[in-house]
Amino acid sequence: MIFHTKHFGPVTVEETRVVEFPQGLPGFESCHRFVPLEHPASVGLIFLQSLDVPELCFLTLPVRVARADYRLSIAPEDLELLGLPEGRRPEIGLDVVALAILSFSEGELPTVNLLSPVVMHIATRRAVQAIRPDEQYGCREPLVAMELTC
Amino acid sequence: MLIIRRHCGQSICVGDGVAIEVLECGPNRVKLGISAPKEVQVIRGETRLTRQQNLAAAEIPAKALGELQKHLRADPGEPASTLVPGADAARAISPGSLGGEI
Repeated sequence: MIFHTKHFGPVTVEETRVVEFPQGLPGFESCHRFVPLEHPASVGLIFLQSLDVPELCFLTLPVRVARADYRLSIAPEDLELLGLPEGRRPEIGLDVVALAILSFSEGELPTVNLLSPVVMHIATRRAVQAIRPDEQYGCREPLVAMELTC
Repeated sequence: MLIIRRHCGQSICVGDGVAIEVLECGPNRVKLGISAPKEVQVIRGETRLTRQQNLAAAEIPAKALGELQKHLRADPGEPASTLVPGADAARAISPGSLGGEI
């Protein structure tokens, strides 16, 4: 299928790349289908492109690029939504992918939302923006110096 | 901010039709019961924060991407590459392969 994207014009997307957000995201509750995109000119950035609204595309980074020691903290209802067992913390890279949404205003440094990462269950391709029940991170954390490698 | 102390079982009334009752008090947290009319939205503070942050993040204009890339590069002196529009340049990633790279 060919979809129109915010940054790249039309892009071919296979159904197996589509990620479903059963509850959308806060502020975008009716946007359920997204596809993660990458581009050679933006190594390290993952573009979370909405398939429902072409102008909607979140810029994200894997949480461990933002904070190497990041550990997930997911509420039971979000684990259930993802189809993950309760009582066991899912492993980044094995069970799930966790992406932090970037914000950027002109004249300011970019910040990253580590309070509520987008968590995708690899096996089912279901995703949720999982708001941490603990106080460990904020939604506008500064980016520390990073090395984005191919 | 109005500060009110309540015991377990006591309640607070807000405006017309909103009531908050303290149901349980634990060492680290409190269980609250909230009654409100259907049209009044009741959400956790951090959900509202997340919503506001998502709306702000969605506003990043396409033209700001180049500026953002400069902040993300290890070597800020490196010239910015330009995005090439078109179906061939951007690639959809499978979540499984994203996982492998982390």
